[in-house]
Formats: sequence, C-alpha cells, structure tokens
Amino acid sequence: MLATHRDAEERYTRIRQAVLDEVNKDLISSSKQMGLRCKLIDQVALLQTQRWSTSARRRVDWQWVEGYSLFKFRHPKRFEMALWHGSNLVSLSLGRPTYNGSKLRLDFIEGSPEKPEGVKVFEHTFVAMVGYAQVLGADELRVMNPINTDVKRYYETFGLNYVPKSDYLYIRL
Amino acid sequence: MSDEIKRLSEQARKKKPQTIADAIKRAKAHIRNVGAENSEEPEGFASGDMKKFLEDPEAYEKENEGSKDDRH
Repeated sequence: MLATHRDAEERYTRIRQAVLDEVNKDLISSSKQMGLRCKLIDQVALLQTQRWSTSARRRVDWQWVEGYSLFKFRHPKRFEMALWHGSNLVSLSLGRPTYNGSKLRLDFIEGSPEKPEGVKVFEHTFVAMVGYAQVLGADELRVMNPINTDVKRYYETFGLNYVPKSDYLYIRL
Repeated sequence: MSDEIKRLSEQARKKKPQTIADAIKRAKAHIRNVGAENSEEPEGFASGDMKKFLEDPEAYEKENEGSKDDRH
C-alpha cells in the first residue's frame, strides 16, 4: 500500500468514525431505537454475514468478506457502516463519493434476513450518509441498483427519485 | 460591489458552517417530513450488484459512472 493511500485510509477512517459517533449519539437518545448501534465494518461483522447465507429469506448471494476487502482497497474515501442490534448484525452498507466528489453513492446495502421485526436499517444508513456527505461537501445521495420493485418503492418513500436508464435513485441535499 | 452584494457576502461569511450533527438533524427532519418513518422495509432488503463488482471491478465502476460525467 502506498503511503498516500495509507494516509487517505487513516484520514477518512477518522472521518467515518466521527460520523458514526454522531449517529450513535442520536440512536442513544432515541427511545424508539433501543439497542441499535452503528460501527465501522470489522471482521466480527463480516463473519456474521456468513450466517445470512443459510437464511431462506435472503434475496442476494453476496460474499461480503471478498466484496468489502476489494472495495476497501479501491476506495479509501468510502462510506461504510455496520448496524448492530445488541450482538446481532442487522445490516452492512458500503458506498463511495463519485469521481468529482459531488455525490455520495450507496453501492451495496443488505439487511440481515433474520433481523428482528420492526428494526429498519435504511433509515439509519440514510442519516449516516447525509452526515458523511456533509463532511465531503457532496450535495446528492445516490442509491445504486435496487434489487426489486418493492425496494425501489421503499426508497421512493424517502423522497429519492429513480433514474431507470442507470438503475439508481437520487436525492439532492 | 453593490451594498446588497456586500451585505449578502458578509452574511454568508458570518453564517455558521453546518456540522455533522446539523446534517444528521436535517436528515431526520426530512425522514419525518416525507413520512418515511412509517414505511415498511421490504423483507430481504438489499441494493447493489456485488457480483458484478467482484467479477470485474473496473467494468462495474465504468458502467456505473460512464465517462466520469455524473449527471443524471
């Protein structure tokens, strides 16, 4: 790893952590979100995703260990978040700023197929992304490739607009 | 420079920059305002195409961002 790459990785990890710390303050103060906490993605979180593959409710067949490792190497400025409910991982999300830095993309998000009823994951990812976009100076969020119509419609309830040509949704901040 | 422009630039200079906490408050207010809090998250919730990314990350990134022109 080049020194410049390592420096960027360390600098942006501090920024990512600062954003998640703020989101956690909000989660702690919210009586509706008992037990939810967000963290950076680590080995413990990645190991938990291997349990997801046995669930019949899972809609994707993703290898998070490989996906995260490659994405991390390619994108030191990435957005990442592991959302936990107690000791159970309830979602992972991963994205990055666009090349000119004016937009923040969510490339991959997956909720645990076994997450407890009533626990929603995108809401918190959206909040964290807005925080990270603020630091980067990005003025738009994009959510890439919704896996089906239900998911696309769900994003639309957050005010995101679908762009069929490139299969993503966006919202101006 | 007109007085109005002077006044606006002075105002912009004095305006407190937004913090991460402000941005988070803004995001939460947006969620409340659009009523997304009450939406049901679909079962097996996911977005993205990780398989395509893992197969050929350069092609994935090129396809998703074309010629680095990120307009809609």
